[in-house]
Amino acid sequence: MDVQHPLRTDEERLKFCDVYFDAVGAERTVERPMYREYVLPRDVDKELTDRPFYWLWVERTNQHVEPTTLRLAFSDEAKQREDARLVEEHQQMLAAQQQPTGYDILFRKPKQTERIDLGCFRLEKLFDSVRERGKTVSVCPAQAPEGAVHVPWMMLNGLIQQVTDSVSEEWFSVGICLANLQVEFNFYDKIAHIPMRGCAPSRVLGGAKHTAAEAVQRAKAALEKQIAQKDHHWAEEARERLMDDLAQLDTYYSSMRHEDDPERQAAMEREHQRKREQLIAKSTPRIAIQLSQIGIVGLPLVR
Amino acid sequence: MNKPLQSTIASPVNAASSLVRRDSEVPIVWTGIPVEESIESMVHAGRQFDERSWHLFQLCAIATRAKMAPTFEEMLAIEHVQGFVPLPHQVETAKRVVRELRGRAILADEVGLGKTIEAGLILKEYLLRGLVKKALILVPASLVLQWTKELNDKFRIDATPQRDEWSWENDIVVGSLDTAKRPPHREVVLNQSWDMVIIDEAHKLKNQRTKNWQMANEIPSKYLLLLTATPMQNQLKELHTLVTLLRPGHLGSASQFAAEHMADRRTAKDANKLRETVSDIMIRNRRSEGGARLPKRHVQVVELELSEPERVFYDRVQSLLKREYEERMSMHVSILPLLTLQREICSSSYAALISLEKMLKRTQRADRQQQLAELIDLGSKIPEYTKITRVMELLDQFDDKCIIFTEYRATQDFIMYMLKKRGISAVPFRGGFKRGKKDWMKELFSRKTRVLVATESGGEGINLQFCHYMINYDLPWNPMRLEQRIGRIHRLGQTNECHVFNLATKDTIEQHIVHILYEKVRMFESVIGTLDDIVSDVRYDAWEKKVFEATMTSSSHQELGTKLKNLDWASVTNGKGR
Repeated sequence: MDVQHPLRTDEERLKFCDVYFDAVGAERTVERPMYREYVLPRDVDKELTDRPFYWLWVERTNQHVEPTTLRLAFSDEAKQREDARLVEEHQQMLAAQQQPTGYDILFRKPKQTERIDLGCFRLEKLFDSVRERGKTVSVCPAQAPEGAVHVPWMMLNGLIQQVTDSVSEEWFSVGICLANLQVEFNFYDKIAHIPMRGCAPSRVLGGAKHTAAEAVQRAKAALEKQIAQKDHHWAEEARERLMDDLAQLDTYYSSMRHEDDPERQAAMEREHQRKREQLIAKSTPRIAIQLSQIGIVGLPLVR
Repeated sequence: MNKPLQSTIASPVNAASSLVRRDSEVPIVWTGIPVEESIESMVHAGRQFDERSWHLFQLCAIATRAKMAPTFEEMLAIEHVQGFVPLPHQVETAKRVVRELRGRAILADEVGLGKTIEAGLILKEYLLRGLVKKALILVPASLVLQWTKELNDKFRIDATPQRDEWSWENDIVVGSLDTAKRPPHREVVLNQSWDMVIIDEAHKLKNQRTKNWQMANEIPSKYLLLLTATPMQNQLKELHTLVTLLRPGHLGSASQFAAEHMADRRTAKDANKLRETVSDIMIRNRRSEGGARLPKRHVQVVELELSEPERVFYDRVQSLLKREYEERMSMHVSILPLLTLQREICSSSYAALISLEKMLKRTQRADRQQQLAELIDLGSKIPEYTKITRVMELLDQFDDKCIIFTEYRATQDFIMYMLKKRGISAVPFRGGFKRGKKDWMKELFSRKTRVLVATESGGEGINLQFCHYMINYDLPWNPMRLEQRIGRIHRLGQTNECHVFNLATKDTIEQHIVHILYEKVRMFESVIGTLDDIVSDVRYDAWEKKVFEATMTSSSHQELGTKLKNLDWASVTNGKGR
């Protein structure tokens, strides 16, 4: 998988979904090449299907409803193959019925698969779901013996965004040792390969000599120092552009004065002000650091 | 561990966001999860973590990286569209708008090259980058559902069609400018801070004094796209008006623009310079550049000669018009009704008859009543109409669907009646139809009927790529409108060659009109770029030369009219179809 540009292939997306549905406890009922069927637990169903009123009705009226089955195709070939199978099964079902009703014949349609690709509704919902469910974690290596001494680390992951009228983003992961405030950049990539198990946060943090606030300050200072060393040409250009645009706007409105008509002049000034504000909001260069994940990680003491 | 956590409250990162100004003077804003509160809650809430939590954490890291925009320029939207591959000129346009034009642009591709696709790509790009949350798309009412569907299906943008006052509060709304500018909608629209506004058919914003322009100017927008194949129709200053919406001052004030760029109303002082200045804000792709591989279009002038009774009727109407014109001018009364009658008599005698009857009802003078009654009598005795007869002959020549365009409702009714009489299935289409009826008519035409008879206003924006034949029953006085008509069938998605027949009546005012149309085309071409063949493909050289000669050697409009009238039309149009 391309770490910087993940999920660009069908295979990566299939693996992503398999891991997700296993992690949330969905039952994998069908597994064929580039195709899966998952039966969703109710909490996951609510997150992945966009039907709040349905769930309101189900819960208010204590309805027993069948769990949703997702039929996900990860390639065009798989979609074609499985859709054809579902049509066949539908026809067999109709043929097997002694007396199909008018509704069955006219309206009941064969089930269809969903093609999972980048930007599709379901994958976006999955992203939303992992953004919530994967926000925080407290872990230590699975291999570490029970009772082993752990060095506590705080991991902060997120995006550094350079924003002007467009945006450029860089993913970051910084780890701060809560024992000595050591800072490690790319912390996540350094530990991602280690199989982990859950660990109570209070247990991992037991060996901390520094507060979370101190660690945060340290991480912040380190990140801001790193950012300060970067090339900020983009921001200078953006600022110059904004100055030019504002000057052009001001010149235009100063040539449009209506001294003889105070009401019109006031309206023109309001318009001028509004357009200035819009331009400033759109183009002012700024850096946003967006924290999206926090992890408490206990790493065994290396002697 | 409790003690250290208690001291976290004062930490700046504890707030949802904080602002820090660096030496480099680029302010840094911290957003996202409040760290210390989250850790405290992890410790105290007793949440259980296991191997699966780690997997979800890992998936979250993957998802964040998958969605991020690693550079300012890269087009993320390309890999998020569905069911089609954007053409290279569309991708290039979207890139330029984001990278160079900074999200405020006129998209002025020739009709049928996919301005909607370009706008969709740009909107999607800003949505993916998180720079746009609220977007307003204003299109002609007849296109609201088509746009909504395209945004949903092709770009997977959750767009909502505007239905009532409250619809405007959705994040991404498609509505019509005509609705948006009326109360109570106006206030609701203006009170929201739209990140992006897209206005289709933006040539309707060519006059700064209109409600349309004022509304467009008042809607808050960080990013703004104006879509039109014809950013300029009659005068150069229309271009200034559009540019002012996007970037006030880019072309100076109206008077500065006139002084710097205009030789006269329709001619640029230095077309190259103006084109260069405008290219900072407008992108125009042309078919001839090979951006889109469209099948050929065959434009053919169908020359008609009025029958004797029609000629008599036409000449008598002309005499009436001249007398009325002189009278009205001397009395300073509006000549607009005469202009309409003049255009109608070019369209069809039937349309002229309706207007004559209205005039008869209104007039008080006995002598005028008698004149009009005689004229109506003369007109209604015409045994056969040349134009419609020719249309029937044309329809007999090919066995395919056909769209017939006219400017006039009365002519439309007449054509519908004559087609019905001939047993040819047809449906009407016009601007006054409600959205649902328009969709229904389009559906009927695509599935059941052979002919669609459309008026100008109704034809705007509908896509009829399944049709390959078009008859222009009368020519609009504006060349861009003719281009828009042709663009209904000759656009992306068209797989067959298209045939367009422009009916032109010999020895009528239409010939003067053709000249004026031509002048406008030249003005448009000099600033924006070449138009596709529109007025006709009459082996332009000969036609162009003769018109040019006539223009150069005339000292007045009357003389020019005479010369144009005396042009050897037949010799020019020989071998016209490609």
